[in-house]
Amino acid sequence: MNKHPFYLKQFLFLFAVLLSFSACQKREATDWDTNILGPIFKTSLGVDQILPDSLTQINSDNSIDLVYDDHFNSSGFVNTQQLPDTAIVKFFTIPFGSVFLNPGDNFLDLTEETKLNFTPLELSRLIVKSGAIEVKIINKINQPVDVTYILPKAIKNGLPYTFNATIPAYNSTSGGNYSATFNLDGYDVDLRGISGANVNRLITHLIASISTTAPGLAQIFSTDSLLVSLKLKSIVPYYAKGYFGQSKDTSYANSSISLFDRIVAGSFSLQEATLNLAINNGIGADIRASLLSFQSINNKTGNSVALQHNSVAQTFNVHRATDFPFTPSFYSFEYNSTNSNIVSLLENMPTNFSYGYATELNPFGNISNGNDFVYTDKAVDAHVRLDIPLHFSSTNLTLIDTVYLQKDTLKEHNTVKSAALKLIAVNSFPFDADVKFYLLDNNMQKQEQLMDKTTILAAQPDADGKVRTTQESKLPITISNELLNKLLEKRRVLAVVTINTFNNPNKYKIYSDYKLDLKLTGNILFNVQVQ
Amino acid sequence: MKRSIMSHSTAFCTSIFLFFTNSVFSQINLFTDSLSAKKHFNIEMFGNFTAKSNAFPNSFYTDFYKGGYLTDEVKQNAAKDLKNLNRFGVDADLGVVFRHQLDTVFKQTGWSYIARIAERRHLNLEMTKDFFNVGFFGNAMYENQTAKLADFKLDFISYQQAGIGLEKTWLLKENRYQIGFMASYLNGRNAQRASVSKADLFTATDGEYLDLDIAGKYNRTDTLKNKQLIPDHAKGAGFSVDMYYQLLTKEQHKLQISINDFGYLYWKNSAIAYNYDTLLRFEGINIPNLITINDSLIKLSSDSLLNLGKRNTNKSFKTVLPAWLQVNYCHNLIPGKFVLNFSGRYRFNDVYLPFIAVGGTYFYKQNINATVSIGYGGYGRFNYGIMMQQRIWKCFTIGLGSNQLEGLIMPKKASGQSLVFSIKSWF
Repeated sequence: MNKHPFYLKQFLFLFAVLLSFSACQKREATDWDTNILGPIFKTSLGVDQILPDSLTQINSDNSIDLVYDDHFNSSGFVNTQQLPDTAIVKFFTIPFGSVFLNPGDNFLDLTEETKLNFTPLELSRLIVKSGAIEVKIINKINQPVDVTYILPKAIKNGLPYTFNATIPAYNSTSGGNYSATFNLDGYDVDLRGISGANVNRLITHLIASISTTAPGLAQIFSTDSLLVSLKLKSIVPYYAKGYFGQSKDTSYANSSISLFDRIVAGSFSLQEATLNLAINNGIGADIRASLLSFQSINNKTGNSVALQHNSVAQTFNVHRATDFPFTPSFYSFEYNSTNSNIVSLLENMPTNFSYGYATELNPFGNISNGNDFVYTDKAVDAHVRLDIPLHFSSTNLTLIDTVYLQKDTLKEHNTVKSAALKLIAVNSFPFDADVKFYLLDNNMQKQEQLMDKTTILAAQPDADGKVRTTQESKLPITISNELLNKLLEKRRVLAVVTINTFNNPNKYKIYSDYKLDLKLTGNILFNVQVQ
Repeated sequence: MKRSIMSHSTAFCTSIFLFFTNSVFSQINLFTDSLSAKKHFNIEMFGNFTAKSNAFPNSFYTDFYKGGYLTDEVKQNAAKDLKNLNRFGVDADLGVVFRHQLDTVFKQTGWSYIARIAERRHLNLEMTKDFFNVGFFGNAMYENQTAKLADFKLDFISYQQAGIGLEKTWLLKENRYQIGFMASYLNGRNAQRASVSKADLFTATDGEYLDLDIAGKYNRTDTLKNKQLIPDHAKGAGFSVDMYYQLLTKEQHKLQISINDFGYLYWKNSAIAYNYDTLLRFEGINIPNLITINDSLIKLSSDSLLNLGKRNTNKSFKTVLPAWLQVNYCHNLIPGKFVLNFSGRYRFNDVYLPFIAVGGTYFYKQNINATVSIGYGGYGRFNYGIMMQQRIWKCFTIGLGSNQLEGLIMPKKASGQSLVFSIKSWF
């Protein structure tokens, strides 16, 4: 036995195999490493995928413009968006001294005119889009009182605004209180007063009688009274007419823009850009406006560039709209590379636009003789269109993005031990793209670089500036087992792409048929496991 | 008359030696020494594990079966002797046979009935060198080349066998004849079957694309049920027959011809079937828009790659059993001392090649013998066998041996290993 321990071992092993066959025992899985070489994914990046359709315009020669279109609508030039709340408080005493009245007998029937405080607006007519009237009545009479309150010049569907209420009788501890809120939506209110020649005047008509529900004869003393309080609340006009007064306003504002957020370094040079500003004045009042300043501010670099154009610091008059039929007045500006430094503003890659403007309403006074008007939904409409032809050169223009790999995603790939990947790029864009991937730590700080050689070469344009022959590049990406483990742990990758146009500083147009075909292949060391 | 009796006695005694020579050549068969046995009852328990390849060394497939990580050294050692077509076969059998020789049946003598139960497992596999390389080393080594993955064949069956049969022995002109027949019901446990007639895999430079021209099919029973200890009767069922013929002449020549495991297994609806007949170019998963890539695209698993171009249907399939045709010839060259054996064997529906062997049995004593053999063919090339048998306590015979002696001597280099045993009793 000692001479042949080997045989014994073999026999024992064979017995063990035999037993395991017959006993259906579970055995350990077998695994090994294997190098799989093949494609992983392919994709094609065209301009239509880099930029959304809504921001691009394809020209007749298939060149592409980056277009930013927006509308601003405001009635802010005239302060009619919501009129100030206005309270009307009336204290009515009994005019006859001490009298006895039967149920149903009137003791007040009074029409009055109340001036509303809409200063500086002098309104002769108002159509209420939304709003309410809040009513509070205190009855000092010892019998219940029926009240009818009418706004005879506030008409809707041909009928004046009217409300009826019965106010409880006064007793020793408290007056008879009544309060309610009524809707004024859609009422067309004539504010010219009883004479028809005033403004901001509201006519009210109060009728009060001893309530028919009173138990008997009522004795009313001269000291008895009705206190009526009306409050026009949250009145938003649909239409207002009158004289809107003269007012001046100077505003400074700051708008952030995200267009260049992902660019962290480098520069680009545009061939041209055009900004069109078109203003429709739907207000029936003259406006004088002035662009005080306009600056492109890059908070990352600290650079700011001021707009240079003959409109800056100059005033211009936007004439009033006319009504019946409604016709707004129109005014437009064009800022282009010839008449302004708009290109420089964009090349500054602004993070913010800072601007100031001044407006003046009715600079020539009440030349409409109280016929200023405004439809609050048709006030001032500004249309801004920024048109940037993708015709540029770039120098080390560096864009970054962060890719976060989901935990579940990585779980499926735990059989990969290491990978020698290759990014095969077929480029028809006339610019190089230097691509780097970095692992990020938990503090989002860069760690290892994932790729060795990283340049996707530019396609070479022909003499007319158009690319007709693509350029292939192969970029090796080696992911060691150690790096893969870090990737599994950190799961955050920073992509840094640096773009340099071909034959810089020549500028080239980007055409709609340009694309970057990417294919990732890999020689991946897999661990295969079989049960 | 006396001479005749003497002659018969001698013939009977020497015939015992002849029958002892069977086991070393047979995988699983019903040949026994019943042709010359005096007792009426016989029970035998047998076991067989035999694995053989024409290429893979023992160390590889034992490591593979044992589980765990296969090192590059193990794989490279297995790869260095690969042929263009590499075969591998494994049989693992365990069973009990009961035989009863009846005195008379309808006034006729020489009838026996036999019953057998057995647990059977069989694997045979044929693959190209490229298939092995791609499977264990990957396709990276075939960059800008075509890997020929076909022919590839795989057959694995696991089943239980319960059979009953009859045999008839008669004496004619001093020669003994025996024929036998057994029918068995098969209870299928698991099966896998792959047959790929065409599979060319071209790997482009840098792996830019893969071209796969494949035609083949793969069938598998439901692996979820493989872990059940109790067989699932609804999984598979079948039928097989064994037939044999023996002749023992008065001149001490013995001829045995048998057909074993002739039948099939029908695997029911739980089976999974894959059919391939496609020319596929794979250029990677297409991501329509890299800018808006989402999780579902990142979650590309290897499964999704493998599923490309594949048809997957659930249906039943049939496994035709790899039936044996065996012919043995023995001659008692030195009566009482040495028997010369010749054997030929073929296995249908299998990657098994025709096998021939020659051997000799030396009787150290009447109740102890050792058989050695050398053969060529089957799943491998040369096979060296050894078998020792000893009769103990008068009624038991135990046998222990190996059909792949080389696996014991050179376990790492040799490409076969085997252990066979039997415990037999007449009473």
